[in-house]
Amino acid sequence: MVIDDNPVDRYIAERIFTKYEFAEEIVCIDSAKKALEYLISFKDIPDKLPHLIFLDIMMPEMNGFQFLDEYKNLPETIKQNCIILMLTTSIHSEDHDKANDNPYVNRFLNKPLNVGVLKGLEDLE
Amino acid sequence: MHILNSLLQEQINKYQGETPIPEYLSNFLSIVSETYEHYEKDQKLLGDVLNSEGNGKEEAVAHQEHLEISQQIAHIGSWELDIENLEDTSRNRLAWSDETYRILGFEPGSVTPSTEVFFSRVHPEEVELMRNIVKDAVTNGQPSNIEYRLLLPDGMEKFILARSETLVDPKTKAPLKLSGTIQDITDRKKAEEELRIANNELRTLFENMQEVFFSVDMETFQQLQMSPACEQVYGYPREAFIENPNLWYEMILEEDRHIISANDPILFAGQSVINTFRTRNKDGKIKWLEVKITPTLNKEGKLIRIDGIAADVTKRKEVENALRDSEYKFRSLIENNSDAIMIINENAEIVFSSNSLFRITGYHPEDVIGIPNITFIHPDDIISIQKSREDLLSNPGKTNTIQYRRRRKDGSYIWCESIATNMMEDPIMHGIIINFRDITERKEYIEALKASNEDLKKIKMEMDRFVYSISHDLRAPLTSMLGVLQLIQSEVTDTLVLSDLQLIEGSIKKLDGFILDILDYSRNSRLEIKLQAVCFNDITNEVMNHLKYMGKGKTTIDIRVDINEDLYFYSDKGRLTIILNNLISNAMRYCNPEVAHPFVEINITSTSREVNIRVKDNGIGISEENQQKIFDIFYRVSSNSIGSGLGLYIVKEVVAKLSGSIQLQSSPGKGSEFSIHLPNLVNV
Repeated sequence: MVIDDNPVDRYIAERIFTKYEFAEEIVCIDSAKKALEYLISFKDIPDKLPHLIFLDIMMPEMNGFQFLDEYKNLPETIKQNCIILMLTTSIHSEDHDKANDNPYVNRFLNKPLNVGVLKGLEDLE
Repeated sequence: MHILNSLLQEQINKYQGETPIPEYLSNFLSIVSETYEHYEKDQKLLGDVLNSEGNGKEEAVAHQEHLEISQQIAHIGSWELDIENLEDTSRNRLAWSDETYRILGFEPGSVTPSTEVFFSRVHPEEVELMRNIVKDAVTNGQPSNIEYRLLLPDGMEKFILARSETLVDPKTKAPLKLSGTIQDITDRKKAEEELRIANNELRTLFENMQEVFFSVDMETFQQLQMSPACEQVYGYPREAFIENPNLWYEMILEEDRHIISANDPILFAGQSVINTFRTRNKDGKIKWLEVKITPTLNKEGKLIRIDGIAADVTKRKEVENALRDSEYKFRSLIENNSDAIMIINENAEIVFSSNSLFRITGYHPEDVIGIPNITFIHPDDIISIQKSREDLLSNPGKTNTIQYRRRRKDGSYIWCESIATNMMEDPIMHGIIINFRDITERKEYIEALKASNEDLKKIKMEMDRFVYSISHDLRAPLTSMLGVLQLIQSEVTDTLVLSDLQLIEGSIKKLDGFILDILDYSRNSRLEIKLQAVCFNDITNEVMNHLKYMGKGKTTIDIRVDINEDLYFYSDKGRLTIILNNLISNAMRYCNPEVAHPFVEINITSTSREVNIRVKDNGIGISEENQQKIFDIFYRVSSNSIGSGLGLYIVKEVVAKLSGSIQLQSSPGKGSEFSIHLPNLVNV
């Protein structure tokens, strides 16, 4: 699952994942709120839940950190199935530290998403 | 006795004036008067006994009894010695009256009277003398009138007045009988002795006191007496005052003489006066005298005599004047102070206020005295004032500083800062001293400052948000472009297109680098130093990690890292990263393509006091001319330069922010070495 308000970035993610056959199914969602709703709707169907969530930080309405605050309260079934990766342009060390301090964030990735970045994720497969 | 007593009383009255009689004197007086009363009582009894005589038909026994009683009462004993038949030892020639027995310490009739028995009771020191006197009386028939002492077995000493007469044969003139009286005068003797001591004490007092005692006969204006202290007080001996009865007046400073003239009506009315005035002494010194005069009027109410004491009070006056001056000084200080000073009592009422209260609040001191201080306090501040007061009252001597609003007479409120001290236990102050000033202006100024500080904080926060958004909004499209570009690169094989795409990628990266530089610069100038223990190894690794794709496509650069660090070096990690990132990326970027083995040497040595960061390369180097300019903002050495022209400028700024210094050694074609010294900020 890719959560990003920027359509170009969503497009890049979809293209890269498809091209390198990174994922069986790709869900791109343009807002954190919708992503939460999506996750909750499949809370009882673990097979439908995403394995990896690529989360942007700077988004309107609900940003990445606000998403994480809500995510914390989601049912365990969801949290056990998902690994969250921050994918952002932010180079602020505060954002970096904040993300690393969050127990649900696996790692912090810098955009753009490319083959080099995907290679770094092979251990998650 | 009576005369003595009244004389003494008079003397004492004279010396003492209105002051009470000293204890030892009053004790003495009570002894004298007791003795005197006793004596008087005896006399009266004796008189009664004597008066009861004279009926003419008493018997001899009755007469004898009367006599005995009389003797007993008067403490007078009588005796008789038959000298005519002195050699006839068969008869007792000495006869004593009962009182004689008693005076000598015997029960009447308990011993046989004899001269030896008598001498056994005479004080040993006087036995010799008495024997001679008795012998003389017996032999020559001389009447005697002497005083001597007895010493009784119980140690009691008695004074005796003895009189004797010799009865002679009218024809032969030979002595027949010796008869006499002995009178116990111990009481009288003791009283006399005590009186003598008291008189001596009075005399000593008179002679030695610092004050001058004097008496003047107001009919002749002659000095009746003057004590020797006059020489000390006036500088003249007493003779001078007897010679010139007006001398004391002439010595008074002219401007003070009116004080003496004012006395007349009071003295004539029989009342005492106390004057304080200045005299010019014999040696010209000005002295302050305090004189107390007591007049004596005769029966017609005419002033006949004055008695007085003159004391030198110069020292006291000097102290008084010094005290008055210093009191005046303090008062002036208080009144002219811009602070107001108040004293409030245990009921929190104002008991004193300096005049400066008027300047500050419009109230005169008399407007507020007796009114509870709380009356003038703003309702919202009353609780804090009361708390401070309670705190003060439970801590004597403590001082509290408090700010509150005080009402002015016109009803407006001013901000005051007051310093209050608990001086309840001070016997003079006995209250809380409040020293306060108007700080309304200062308060307003501080409020304005606070408001503008708040504004600045807001602006700063907005600025932070602004920079944060800018960095995102500017960089997000660039990374998107880069992402799309990399997608295309992975799908295109046409070398021409690929080299074109390479150009686009370079431009995008350059633009991104430029944005990052501007962010670094803005963060350095805005953010406070964030102090933390730093690990140079970590920072260097992070930087190297970030730069690892940089050398791509070029000859491999040999990066040599040598770090010797002290564990406890404190500085700002973010800023150190900026420094290292810029220096290392520059060294890599400007490597010399002519050189076979390009290298970058990073050498960091930290101690507990400072760190030395050296970044050395064998790159293209910098000409001497440019060495001065490369730290300037937006300066780029040539149009071929890839950077933004900000990197070294930012390094310079950051180094300055961290209180460090930077040096550059470089020669074109050979390489450059940047050396930076930064202090450990915890020791600064």
